[in-house]
Amino acid sequence: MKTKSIFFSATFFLIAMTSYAQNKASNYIGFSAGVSTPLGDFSKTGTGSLNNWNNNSGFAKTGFAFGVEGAYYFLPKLGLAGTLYYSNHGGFSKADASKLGDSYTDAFGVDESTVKTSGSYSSINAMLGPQLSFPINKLTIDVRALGGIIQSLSTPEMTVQLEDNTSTLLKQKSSTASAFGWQVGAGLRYAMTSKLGLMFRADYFNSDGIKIKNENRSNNAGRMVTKQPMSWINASVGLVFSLGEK
Amino acid sequence: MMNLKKSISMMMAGALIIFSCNKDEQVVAPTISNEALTTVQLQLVNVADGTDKPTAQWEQLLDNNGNPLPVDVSEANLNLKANATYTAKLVLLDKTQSPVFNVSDEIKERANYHLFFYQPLPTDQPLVIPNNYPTDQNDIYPEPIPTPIPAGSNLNLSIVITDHDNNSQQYPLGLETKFTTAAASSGWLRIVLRHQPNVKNGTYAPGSTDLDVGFNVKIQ
Repeated sequence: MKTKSIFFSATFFLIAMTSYAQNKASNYIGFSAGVSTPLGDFSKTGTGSLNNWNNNSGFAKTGFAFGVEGAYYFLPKLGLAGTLYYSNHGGFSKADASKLGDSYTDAFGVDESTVKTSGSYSSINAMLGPQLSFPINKLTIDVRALGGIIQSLSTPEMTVQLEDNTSTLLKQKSSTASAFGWQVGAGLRYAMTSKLGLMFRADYFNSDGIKIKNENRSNNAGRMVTKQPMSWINASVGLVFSLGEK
Repeated sequence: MMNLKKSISMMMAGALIIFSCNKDEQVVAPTISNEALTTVQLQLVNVADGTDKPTAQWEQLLDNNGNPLPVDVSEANLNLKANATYTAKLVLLDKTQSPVFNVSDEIKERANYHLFFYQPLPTDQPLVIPNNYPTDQNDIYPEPIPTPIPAGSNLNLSIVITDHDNNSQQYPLGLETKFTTAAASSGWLRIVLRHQPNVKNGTYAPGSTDLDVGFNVKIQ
């Protein structure tokens, strides 16, 4: 429901803005990098309680994103935008590992558990969709709604050993799965020359989640993530290069 | 074109720096507290006669320092009728807490890695609960069961576990059982609770023992 309302609001905004069109937007390609802040379940660090474990919290950290994007305008203000971005959102910290360890100690009623973690959330997403642009002198305001694929390159790994029994070793594996994702965002481009400009953007990304595989879960107990929802907001700056005549 | 190359190079360099910051972590998380299993009660009801409700209790309380007191088996006597069927419930209590804490409820919540084993003795069947006495002189039966088991006729009692856990492949739990008696006989019943975190597979071997108690049984 929330997703739909964001889409409808964005679409309405795009249509409304077309009435302020002044000039023809120019095709461009841009490179940007910035801060990526995880949101929702992806950022949560709760483990839940006995028999009510939180299997969605991602423990993701504020990270970074960089990539390439561009737009081709087939109407004066309406174009097709495409993006290819890499994102990294860190992994389990020592405090996270300790919290997870406490949850497995409780979940399996053992004297202690040893948790080892490694790796981080690393992914590439490729998005395509409509972009409306409103050039006003040297400034161009962009708004867009995109859909596409997120390809995970890695997710944090975790092994848990219950007490001193190596046969109890359970593992959450790194995932290289892919899933559908969508993105809405707005940006501002400032033309420094006829060909080169600066770009400032804010984009919200959401995916219901990528599949996570687990090993040696003989008994149903404790937190087990099988699908990791992902959402974040990117704030980025970059350079844009205009292509063709304005 | 120079600007384009420069910006890509700068972004790649930044990414490489951040990539190298991934850290492996290892922590040991100890438990906060554990319940004490001080009291074990068997509560049976004769399926054919609701007024026949035999009970038995095995108890070992703790002193003020948490050290175990001598086992009290004065009420660990189960009297059953011959050729009868009983539904049985096992109740585990922690009497060190006030009010008394019902550990059975906790075991039920943690059913996926707990399993009770019931061993009628004497028996000529393979032991459900292994015993290595006299090879292992320390492997003695819990009170009031004598070690070794005196030679004699079998205890004519069979026990079937009727409750199960919530694992994907369900295994028995053992808080609820069905006792079936045959001809008059006497002997003992040993009950062991195995704690099998992430290794429960329906067999006795994996895990460790949380509880090991005994009862005198008379079938008449």
